[in-house]
Amino acid sequence: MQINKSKLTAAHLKILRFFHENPSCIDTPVGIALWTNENVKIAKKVLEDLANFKILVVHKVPSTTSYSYTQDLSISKKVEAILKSLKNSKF
Amino acid sequence: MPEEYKEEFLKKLVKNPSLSGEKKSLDSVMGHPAIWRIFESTEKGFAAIDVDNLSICEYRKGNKKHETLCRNNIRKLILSAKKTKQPKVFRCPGNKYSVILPLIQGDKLFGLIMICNLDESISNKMLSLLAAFTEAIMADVTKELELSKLYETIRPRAIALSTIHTIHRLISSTLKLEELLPRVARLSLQVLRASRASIMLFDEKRKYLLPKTIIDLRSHKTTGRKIKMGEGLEGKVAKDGTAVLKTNVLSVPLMHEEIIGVITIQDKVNKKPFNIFDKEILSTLAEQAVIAIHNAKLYEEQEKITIGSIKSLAAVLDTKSRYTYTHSNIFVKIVLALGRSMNMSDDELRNLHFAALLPDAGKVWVPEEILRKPSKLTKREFKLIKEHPIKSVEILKHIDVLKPTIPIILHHHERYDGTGYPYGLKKDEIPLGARIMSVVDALEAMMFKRPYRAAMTFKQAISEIQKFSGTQFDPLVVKTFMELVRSGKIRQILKEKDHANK
Repeated sequence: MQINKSKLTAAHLKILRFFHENPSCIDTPVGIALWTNENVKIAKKVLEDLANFKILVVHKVPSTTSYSYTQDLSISKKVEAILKSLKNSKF
Repeated sequence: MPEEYKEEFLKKLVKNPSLSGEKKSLDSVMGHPAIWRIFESTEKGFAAIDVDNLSICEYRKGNKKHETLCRNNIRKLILSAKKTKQPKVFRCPGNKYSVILPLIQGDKLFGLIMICNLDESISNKMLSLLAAFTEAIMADVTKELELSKLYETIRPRAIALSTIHTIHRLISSTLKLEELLPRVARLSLQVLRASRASIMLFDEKRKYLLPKTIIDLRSHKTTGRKIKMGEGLEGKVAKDGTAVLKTNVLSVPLMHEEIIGVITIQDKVNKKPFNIFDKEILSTLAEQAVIAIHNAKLYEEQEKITIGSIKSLAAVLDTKSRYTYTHSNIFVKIVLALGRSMNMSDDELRNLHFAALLPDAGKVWVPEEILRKPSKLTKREFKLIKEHPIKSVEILKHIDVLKPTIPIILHHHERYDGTGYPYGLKKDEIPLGARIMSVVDALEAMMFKRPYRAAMTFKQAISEIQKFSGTQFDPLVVKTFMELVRSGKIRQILKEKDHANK
């Protein structure tokens, strides 16, 4: 699925920025919500969206689901461009 | 506060809202605006880092000579303040009053605040008050700076720790070596942002390292060659038991009392060299992985022992009368294929597997002449037959690992409409595993010759199963079974023809 910039909310961008700045991180929705100071329910939804965009990799096991940043350089470059373009916006 | 934070400290001080408040308070006391200037103490002297609008100074305005006089005067006063480190009121060349407040941290002068353009001098009490306010603001800024430094230092470590914890959860959630090793390799790539990961484990004789998993994000190559102990990078790591860090490759031994293998990662995605922190992270991952690998191996061994024990028991019974108390490998395979198609979990499949290995052990209580009787059974004889699932449970209940299989074994002769035995359970009251076994048991019974009737063809047998869907059999299980039949899976299992080669 293509990254649709217009569909990205402030929460999407916050979590996107977190992973872009911490590409080695692998964490659960609760952990990501904590690091980004975001509501857990919202974080869960955002993480699913970003995984659909292939920006995040899902690690699913029976006891938990975790997310990490893509290893695909072409995707991370697109993310970087989005974050740069929005640097001075309300986000 | 360390010297290197001085610049950041002064920048934060300039932006501090309490300082703006102090400015406003002084302006309201004096009845006119003062000019605030903040200087940073440098090796060469002082450098202004924040200056209010100087145009309100009537003395300097548009007069180059006055500007020079003012500047020289300020320089002199700053140097004097540097020596005394005390707040001071002075009169400027323009007949106005000014104040110097040294910014001291510990015994070091970080900078100065100069307040100019005051119409009147200020009292010592007022000067002390200003100094105290400034000191309080400085304490606030120091605290804020320390907190932000602490946050900057601790946050990445906390994120890394949380990542390690998450990895621990991910790798300890499986006891299957074939799932575990690729997972460890993939997570290593993810955390270290590398392009290739491989895990090699020793063979039984500990002579060779065998490639167990290879993940290469660039070539998707998944095969490798075995390496002799002491040879090549991995062989040396395994022999010496120490990690090797090179620009493009990082190899760490997997050690649990003794070395069991090696994990190696190659080529960072961003082309940067591996560093000492990467080595620490991979070593931590290896420590976690090795415990999980050890547990998985123990589990595999335990499973082999369990299955071996059940098979031994089955073999003993088989010597008495073949396939009377046990089922063929084909039966077990079809049962498991059906269980998988019905989305049973790994645990449920495991229990189904154990149950399918020896579901009719209780038949040893039934006299052989009844089991082999070609004609119709009497009521008494059928009563004995109906009791065999209960007897099977009597035999198997003493083996702890088989306890979860008991409901399947006990109820696999129940019928969907409630007319089966031993308890006449119906529909969902019958465990899913038992409903599955019931269909496959019937298939096997119909397809293989029995003392009381000839074998049916596969086509005839599946036609019978469909005929009794909803009465003898669960319609959903029959539907799934027919999907497997149509996909060719059942025929493929039947073709293996290992009925006699259990």
